Amino acid sequence: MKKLFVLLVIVSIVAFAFAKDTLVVTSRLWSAPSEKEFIINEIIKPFEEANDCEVKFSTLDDTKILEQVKLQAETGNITTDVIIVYCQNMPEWVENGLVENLTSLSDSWTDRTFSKGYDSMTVFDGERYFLPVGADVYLFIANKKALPYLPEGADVANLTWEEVVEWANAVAEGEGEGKYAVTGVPQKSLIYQYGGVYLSYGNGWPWLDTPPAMAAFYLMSKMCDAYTPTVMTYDDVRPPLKRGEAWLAAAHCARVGEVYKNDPTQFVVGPTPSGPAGIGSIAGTSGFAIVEGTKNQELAEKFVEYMTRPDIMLEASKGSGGFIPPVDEAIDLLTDTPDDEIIAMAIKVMQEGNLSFIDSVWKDWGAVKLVYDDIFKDMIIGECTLDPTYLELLNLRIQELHK
Amino acid sequence: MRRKSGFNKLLGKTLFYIIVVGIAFIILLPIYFILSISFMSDQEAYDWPINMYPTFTNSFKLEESRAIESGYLLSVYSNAQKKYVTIFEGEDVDEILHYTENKTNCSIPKDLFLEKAEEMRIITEKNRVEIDQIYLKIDSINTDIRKINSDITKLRKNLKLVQDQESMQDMKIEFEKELNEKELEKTTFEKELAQAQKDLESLNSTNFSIFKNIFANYVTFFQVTADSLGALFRSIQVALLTVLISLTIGGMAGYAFARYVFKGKNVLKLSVLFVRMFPGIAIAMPMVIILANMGFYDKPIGLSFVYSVGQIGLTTWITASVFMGIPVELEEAAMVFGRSKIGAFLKVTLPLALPGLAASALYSFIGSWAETAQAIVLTQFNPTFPVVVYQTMVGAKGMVNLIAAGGITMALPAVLFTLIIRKYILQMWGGVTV
Amino acid sequence: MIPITKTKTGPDKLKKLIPYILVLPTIIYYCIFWLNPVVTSFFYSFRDENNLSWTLKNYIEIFNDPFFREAIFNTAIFVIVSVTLEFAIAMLLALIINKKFRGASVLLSICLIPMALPAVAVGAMWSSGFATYGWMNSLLYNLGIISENGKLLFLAGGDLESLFLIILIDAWQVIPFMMIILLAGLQGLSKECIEAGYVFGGTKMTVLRKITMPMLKSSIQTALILRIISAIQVWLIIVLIFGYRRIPVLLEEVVFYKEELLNKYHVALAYSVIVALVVSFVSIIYLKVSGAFKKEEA
Repeated sequence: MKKLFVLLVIVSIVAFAFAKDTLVVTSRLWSAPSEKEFIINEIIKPFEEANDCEVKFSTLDDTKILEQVKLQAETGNITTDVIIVYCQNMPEWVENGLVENLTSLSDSWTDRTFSKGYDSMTVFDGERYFLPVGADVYLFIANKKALPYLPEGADVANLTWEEVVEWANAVAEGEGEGKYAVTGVPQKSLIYQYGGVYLSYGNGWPWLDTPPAMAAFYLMSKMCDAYTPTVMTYDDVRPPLKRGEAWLAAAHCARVGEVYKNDPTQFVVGPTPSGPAGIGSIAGTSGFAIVEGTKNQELAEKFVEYMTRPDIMLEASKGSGGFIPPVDEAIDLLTDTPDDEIIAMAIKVMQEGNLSFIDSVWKDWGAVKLVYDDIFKDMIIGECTLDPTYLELLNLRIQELHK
Repeated sequence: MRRKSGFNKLLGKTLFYIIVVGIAFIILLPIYFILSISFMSDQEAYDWPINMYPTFTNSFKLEESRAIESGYLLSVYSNAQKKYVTIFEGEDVDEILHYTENKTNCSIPKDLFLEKAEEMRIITEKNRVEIDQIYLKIDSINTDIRKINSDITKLRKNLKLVQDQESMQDMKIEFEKELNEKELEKTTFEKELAQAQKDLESLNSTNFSIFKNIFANYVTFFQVTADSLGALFRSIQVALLTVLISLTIGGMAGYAFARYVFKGKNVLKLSVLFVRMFPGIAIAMPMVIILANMGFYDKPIGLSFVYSVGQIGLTTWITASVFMGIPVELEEAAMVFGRSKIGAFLKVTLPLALPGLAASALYSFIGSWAETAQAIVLTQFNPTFPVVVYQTMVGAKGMVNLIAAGGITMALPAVLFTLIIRKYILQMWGGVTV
Repeated sequence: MIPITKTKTGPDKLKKLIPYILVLPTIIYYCIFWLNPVVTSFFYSFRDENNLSWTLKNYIEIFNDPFFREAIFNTAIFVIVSVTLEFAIAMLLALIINKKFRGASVLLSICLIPMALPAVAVGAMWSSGFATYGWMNSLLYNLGIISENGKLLFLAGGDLESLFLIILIDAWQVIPFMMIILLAGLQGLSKECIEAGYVFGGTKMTVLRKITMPMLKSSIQTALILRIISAIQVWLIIVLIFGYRRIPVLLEEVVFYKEELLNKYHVALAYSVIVALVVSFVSIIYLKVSGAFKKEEA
């Protein structure tokens, strides 16, 4: 018994002496099985070898990561070191003091420039808390079965929203049921999908009392019959597109990329359609942050430094979905080698498009999203018409949510 | 008389089994589909109409790519659509094979592919002229169909406009006539197109069949779900601990309720219900903080403590009614024969109560087995199985076959648990003989 | 061995204490793991989210929310329809199969599968099943019941139809489980009483009404009250299939305030207090009407 005990002590001492530092990374990005595998094996493994450490990389959704870290902060036992979350939730992380100020750290790197557009989401009062990664824009995807209805002279690689409306309506007439998909379930991405239409008519998104807003919603009300009958139950456009239930959608580039790469012979992809103001798209990003109170400060800094290197970002974005690296140097590298159609198209949207970003000027972005969900339910699907007074009324709701 | 009752008995028995099978059928129908989908490849799972059962082999068709010089176009036979559907176009053989494996769960040997490719090239070269002609025909038909589609749409729109206009009835009739003609034309074109494609098939392609890896989704699921076996083990641990905690604590209270009259019994008995009144999801956070402060964060026992809060009440009520069903006289008789109170309980009441207790254990097990919401927050390095399943599923939104495989894996241990304690539960149907 | 010479008051006192000793662990457990967080939550529901001052603002916000009335209405319909439906069917089935038969263990295992599936899988199963291009329509199509263009739009119904769809899904998951609870109760009945009923000339219906049901009362009460409470708190399956705010019910609103909106946790807590009040109110009425109180006091 004694011997056993001594042996145990020795074993544990040895184990402790040789124990590697462990870095815990929880991410909302790269959650698709194949992407996760790629990131762990191709991106993280070299880092582990170079620094003789172990990185525990797991994926969860935004709200769960927040809940987990909040709990750790409240009980004073921080075990998560690095997080990757979406821009929508970044204000809450910063306001609750859950993440470190990375300004001086990121200023010390000279080989990379984080794309300016994403500063509105990742920098708070001049201080950088998040390092952007995996940016997104919107793309258009169509099932080839819809091509026979494509209006004359239209080209999927160069569509206008008016053509899309005509196309979607033609498909609906011809097939007897609508085939256009958006995320009809509240709190998902409808505001971004409509934001693209909005921005192709001008600036001002997400305000509802502007001429572009009226134009966009007028156009959208013209295709109220073109949505699939069950559009209100979509929380993601991937399943209906894959099932063949929906044929057309303007969606997040990574989602579009996944569907397209899964069925390259069945789908065609293009940038988001354009309007008088050009291609319009919302751009969002995820971001790295170091959790306040981490026990592996040095390793965590090394890790985020490594992950945001232009060459690593380039590799990561090539191996996963269709995210764009929000670092100028990485984009330059990418444009030189455009072997991935999805990323090339996303970059085209990003460089040529009239973009808008999610600012941190909203008290609760989720509540702003809800306004658009209500418009979709009540005005577009419900009334099938443009009601300017209604939009102006709802604009007051948005105003109330502005800081 | 006798024969009639025999006949009635048989009829009764048949009816009985029809009902039992009916219940099982309704419960199993959706589960059957999930099971069936869990064996399907991505291509099958998203086909319409979904096949009623998974296939075991896939037939492939290989032809020359029109878009890519010296490229291939690979199709797979869809049982649902009764025709070949294209799945990949490209020139890099390794890429094609890799893609095909993901899409159809079939791994095509490279040698076989190259051999078939060679065969296909020879056939294609031989029929080059005819093939080109058919291609031209297909293109022209496609253009025609597109034109007609646009005409039809316009006509339908116009028709809708004039529908209720009294003065435009002539126009309406004309539109309708035109529409009928166009639609007829469209069907003819579509038939021609189908014929052309059929003609093409024998001229430019080769076919081959490959066995499908039926368990591919399960393999993938366990591959992409880190620490899944450890998590499965922890889940069983959590569920059993929950059973243990709620059965001892709740069972004691249940016995008190069944056997004793005491002050405040009513209030207490209702308080067991009260814990279910406040929505657990709302107080999950403060509850979790209490647990974490006690040092139970990220430990199976911590989770069982949380789950037991909901389960103890149920256990108390069930055990109370179980003990009430066992006559107190039996216990008293045992005590007359010299057993102590505890001895009487252990030797007489407990064995009789076992089936009921087993049932109650089963509820606690099932009740805590699949819980996800609190486990996600309460665990980090030692997640339970529902948590790892959840993590995989969040990323696998558009992969229903993978989700199905995870769901089936999740349900299996619970079914096994019932089979293990079925001896006791089955006494239910026999009735306890007193 | 109990010493005979022991004074009478000793064991009596002890005997009086026994039930309290038996109940004590439950009470302690609840105080630590339940009362504590609930009391905290209760107080926080009266405090401002930001500056923690005492306020009724959280409650006012709920009563001003148009979704609150809808949630109450939907929850009421759900509870009434689903509990009645599920109980009636489960009871009927339990009575029918309340005997020994081959394959009983298989049926038991089958009945438990629906409850053992994780929520995400159940959600995926039904949303892929009821999708227009899902397996439900595939099945109907393959059986020749519907045509290619006659696909049923399960998920495109109005609010009430969607609610009934949820009730159906819920019934699929709950009825088998409830049936087993009732079967467990039926097994506890003494055979003699029921046989006696027949001997004295009772028909099946009268025996059921006059003997079986009264004897089964406590099992039924348990099953029903627990079911009512959990029916009032239904939410996850609705969110998984229709998302938030399409078919608002009470608990879905709690979770919505807690998870989907920023800085509304205290409103969610206030909502929970309201839910708890509703549950208590309904349970007390139920217990009064069903006579559970009376029986205990007698």
